[in-house]
Amino acid sequence: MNAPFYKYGLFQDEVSLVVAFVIGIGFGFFLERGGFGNGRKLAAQFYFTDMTVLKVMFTAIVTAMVGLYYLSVFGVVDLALVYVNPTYLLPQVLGGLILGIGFVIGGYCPGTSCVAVSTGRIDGLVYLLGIVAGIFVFGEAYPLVKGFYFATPMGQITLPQLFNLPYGVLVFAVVAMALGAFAAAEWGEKKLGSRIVEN
Amino acid sequence: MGIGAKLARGCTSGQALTGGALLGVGSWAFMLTVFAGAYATAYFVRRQWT
Repeated sequence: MNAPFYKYGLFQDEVSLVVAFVIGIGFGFFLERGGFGNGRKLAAQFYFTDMTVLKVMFTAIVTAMVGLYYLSVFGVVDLALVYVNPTYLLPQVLGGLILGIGFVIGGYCPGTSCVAVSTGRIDGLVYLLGIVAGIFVFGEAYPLVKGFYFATPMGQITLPQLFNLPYGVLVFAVVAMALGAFAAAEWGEKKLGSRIVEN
Repeated sequence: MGIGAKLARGCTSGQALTGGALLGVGSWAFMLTVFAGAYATAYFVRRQWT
C-alpha cells in the first residue's frame, strides 16, 4: 500500500494544488475536445439525438472505478483511505433535480460552463455568473436551509455497504450497466441521430 | 445551478463522476436525479434546442 499519495504524506497541500492544477488543465482540455464546451451538444443528450454525455460520463466512471478497484486488489491503493463524499439523501436528491432542470434549460453543468467560458462563449459566461449568484444566495440563506442541508445523513456509505454485497460485484454491475447503456445509446443515435447539431 | 450544486455538495464532476466511481450512495442518487430532472424538463424547453 503506497497510495493515495496524499494520505501517505508523499506530498503536502502545496504540491497537491500543483497536481490539481495540472489535472485540471487535462480535464478541461479533454472536455473541450470532446465537444463539452457546446451547450447544444450537451442538451442534445436529453433529446436522445447525441448521447455523448452519457458515453463520456460512463466511460469516466468505469475507468476510474475499475482502475481503483484493481489497484486496490493488487494492494497499491488503500480504498479505505480514499475519501468518499458523505451521503445526505434528501438534499442531494433535491440538488440533483435542480441541477438537472438547470442543465437542460441552460445547456451546461457547472464544469462544462467553465469550458464554454474559456472558449469565449457568451452563454457559458452568463451561465457561470448565474452559478456564482446561486452559490451567493445559498451562502446568504445558509442559516435558513442549514436544517435541510444536513437532513437524512447516511455517513460515508457506498453501494456495496448499502446492498451488503462485495465491492467487486458492484463494480461488475456498473460495468454491465455501462455496456448496456453504450449499446442502447448507439442504437438510439442511429434511430434519432440525424438531427445532430455541430456548432 | 449554484444552489443545486451547493445543496448536493458537488456538481456533475465532483459528485456524479468522482463519487460515482467510488460507488457513493449519495453520488448515485444525485446522478440519477440530475438525469431525471433534465429529462422531465426537456419537453418544456424543446423549442430552445430544436
